[in-house]
Amino acid sequence: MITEIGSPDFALIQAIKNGNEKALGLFYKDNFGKILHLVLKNSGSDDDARDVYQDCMMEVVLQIRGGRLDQLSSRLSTYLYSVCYYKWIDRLRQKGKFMQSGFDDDLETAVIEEDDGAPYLPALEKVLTQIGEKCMTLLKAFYYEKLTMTQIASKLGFADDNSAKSQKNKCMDKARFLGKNVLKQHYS
Amino acid sequence: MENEDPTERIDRYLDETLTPAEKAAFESEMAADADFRLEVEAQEAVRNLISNQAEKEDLRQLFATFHSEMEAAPARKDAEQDNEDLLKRKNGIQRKLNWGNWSYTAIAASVAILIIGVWTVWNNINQTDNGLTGNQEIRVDERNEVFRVPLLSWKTVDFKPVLQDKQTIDATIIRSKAYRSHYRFNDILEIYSDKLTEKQQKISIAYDVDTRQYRLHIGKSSYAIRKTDEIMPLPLP
Repeated sequence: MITEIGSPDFALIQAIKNGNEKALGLFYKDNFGKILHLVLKNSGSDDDARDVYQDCMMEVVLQIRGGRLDQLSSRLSTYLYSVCYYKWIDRLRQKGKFMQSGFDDDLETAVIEEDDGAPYLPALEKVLTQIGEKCMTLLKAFYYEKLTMTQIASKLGFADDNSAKSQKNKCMDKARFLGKNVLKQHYS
Repeated sequence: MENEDPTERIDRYLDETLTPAEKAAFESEMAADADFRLEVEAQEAVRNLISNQAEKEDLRQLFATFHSEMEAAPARKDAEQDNEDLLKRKNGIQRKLNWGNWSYTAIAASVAILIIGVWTVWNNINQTDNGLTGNQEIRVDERNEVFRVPLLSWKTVDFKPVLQDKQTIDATIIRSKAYRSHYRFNDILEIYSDKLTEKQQKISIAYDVDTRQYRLHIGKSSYAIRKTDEIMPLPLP
């Protein structure tokens, strides 16, 4: 069934996009069997199946959250299978092996190429380890978890809001300095 | 704000919370100063990277939870299926036992008539064997032939046994010359014993969901048993 919005799984996609963990859990559990079968039939183990499945599920969920699958014309499960299929082919190629079976008509589904982001990201990721785990936790609490300074002070054991804020700014100063050097090298 | 921390000022620009005047001044500064522009870009990249890493970490944890739930589910399904099967068999057995009770009553009546007849004719003959003969079996219990024993399903969680399900199944103790320490376990548990009675020893069955094995507990003794339609010797405790 194709809805007027364009995707047969529009409701599911929107539920996952809105952070509905129950919907995501059902989607996860419903589709693992097919990927397990694919991987086991093609030189892989249970662990390989879980790894590749979680990687491609991650990719699909991030694409959903980024709104890139709002107009998906195939079933979401078919799309997921295709992403997993190509990911497993890549891993087999890296090991010098080839796919034995697993093709089916559903694989005609086009897969959106994963946007790996800015080319300097791996270097940035590497240098950011220099700010230390405590700074990373603090920045994560502020920028990702969106906690207030009062909550951060309480959670991370700072004397008060001002101490937490001051430390957060110092951490970002350091991270920005490191990031700027990476960008300079990238642009030079 | 002149004394505002540079980090907070850039954050306010990225979060679009600067006033129009502040924003205009900020963008003029960026246009005039390449180094400052790079600082803003670097801070935005750091923020995005931290958020992306955290989002992926959260998803990984979520997937791990889903996977654990999925792996735990088949064990639960197996136990549920086993319990359903037991229930179906039990209902079947109950019907069978009802028929059986009629049969036993009829047999008992026939035996009583026979005994009275024999006693009448052979009044002065002493009975030398008042026990059992041949393959004759007598099902014993103080009041009923069949009683119920607990069937407990266990699963090991964090190295501790956790009760998953509690049921009861029909059981009977059988006196037989041919079988003295045997069992048969399918829809019903039959224990062949010379002396065991229901009241004398506590009887129960434990089912290990992980290994899918049954253990019969009689008093302090425990025997590994399995579902079987044949009469099997009770293994050593």
